[in-house]
Amino acid sequence: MCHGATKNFAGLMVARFFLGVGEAAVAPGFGLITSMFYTRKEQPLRQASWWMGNSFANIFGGLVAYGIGSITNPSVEHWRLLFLILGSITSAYAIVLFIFLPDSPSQARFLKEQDRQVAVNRTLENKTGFMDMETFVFAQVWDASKDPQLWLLFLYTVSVNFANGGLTSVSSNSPTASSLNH
Amino acid sequence: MSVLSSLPDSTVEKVLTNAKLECIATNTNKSIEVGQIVITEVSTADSKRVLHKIDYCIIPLMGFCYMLQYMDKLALSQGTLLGLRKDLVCFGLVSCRLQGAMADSLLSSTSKALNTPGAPLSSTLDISFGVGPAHTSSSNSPPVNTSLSPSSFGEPSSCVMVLPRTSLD
Repeated sequence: MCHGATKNFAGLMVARFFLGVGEAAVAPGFGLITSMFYTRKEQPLRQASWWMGNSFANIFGGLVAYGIGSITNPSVEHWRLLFLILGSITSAYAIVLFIFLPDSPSQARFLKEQDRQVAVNRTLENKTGFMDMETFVFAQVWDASKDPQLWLLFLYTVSVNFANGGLTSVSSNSPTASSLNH
Repeated sequence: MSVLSSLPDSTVEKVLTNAKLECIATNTNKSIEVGQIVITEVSTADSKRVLHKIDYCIIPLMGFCYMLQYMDKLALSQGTLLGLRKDLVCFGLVSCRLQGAMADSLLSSTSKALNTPGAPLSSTLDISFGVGPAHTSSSNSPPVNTSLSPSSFGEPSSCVMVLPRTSLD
C-alpha cells in the first residue's frame, strides 16, 4: 500500500524493499506447510496447485489493473489507486490467513481433534519432523549458514531473480511487443 | 528407538508438554519421548477423507494468497502504464534505459529501438548518470515529461534517444 504514497524513485524502492521482505516468507512458508500436510507422493501436485495462484495473478492482474485504470476522475492518480486497492486487499487477506492457515497439522482449525491425529499420522512416513517446539534455535541458523549448498542455492536464486525482477517490472511495456508496432 | 505398532486404530491421544511428546494409548499407558516414532493404523477411508479436507482448505488459502502476492508484484509493472513513470520521473528514466538494454538481450539482433551495437551498453551505463540531474530537479522538467507521455510509453526508441539530452539540460 505504501507504494501509493511514494513521491520519488527512492521512496518507491524503499516500499519495494519492504514488500520484498514481506513476501520473502510466502513461498518457502507455503512449501513448508505443504510438506507438513502431505506425504512425499502427494506433495508435487499440491505444491503446483498453490503455485497456480501465480498464473491466476497473470490472468487477472492485467484485468484488475485495466479496471482500476478506467476509473474516471479518481482523487489520486491511477497508479497510486492500483497500489492502494491491491495492497488493502492483501492486507485484509493477511488476517484471514492468520486465523485459518495452520502452523502444523496438529493446529489445523478446520480439522476435528480426531482428524488432526489422522493428519499427523498420515505424514509420519515423511520423517520431515513437524513437532514444532516453538523455539527458534540460533545454532541451527549458524549451522545452515555454513552449508555451501545453501549459498549456491542463494547465488542461483539471486542471479535468476535479478533478471526476473527486471523483466517483470517492465513486462507491461515489453520492448518485444512495442517494437513489433514499428 | 522403540516402535509401537500394535496400537489399535487412531485411538492415540497426544499431549504436548514443553519438551516431551507423551502418547497415551487408551489401553496402554506408555509415555513416549520426542523423536520416537509411533505407528498407528488409520483406515484408508479416514485418511482419504482427511486428505480431501486438507486439500479443500489449505490449497485455496495458499493459492489465493500467492495470487495476491504476485498481483502486488505485478502492480509496479502495470503502474508504469497508469502514469507512475510520469509522476516519479526518475523511475521512468531508469526503466526506459533498462528497457532498452533488455530489448537487446531479449532480441539477439539489435532491434530498431537501438540502432548501433554500442547503444545498449551506453544506455545501461548511463543509468546513474541520467538519474542524478533529473532526480534533483524533479519539479520542472517539462521535456522529460513530454517525452514520457503515455502515448510514447510503448516506444523505447524515443525514450532512449531523447532522454540523455533532456536530462542533462
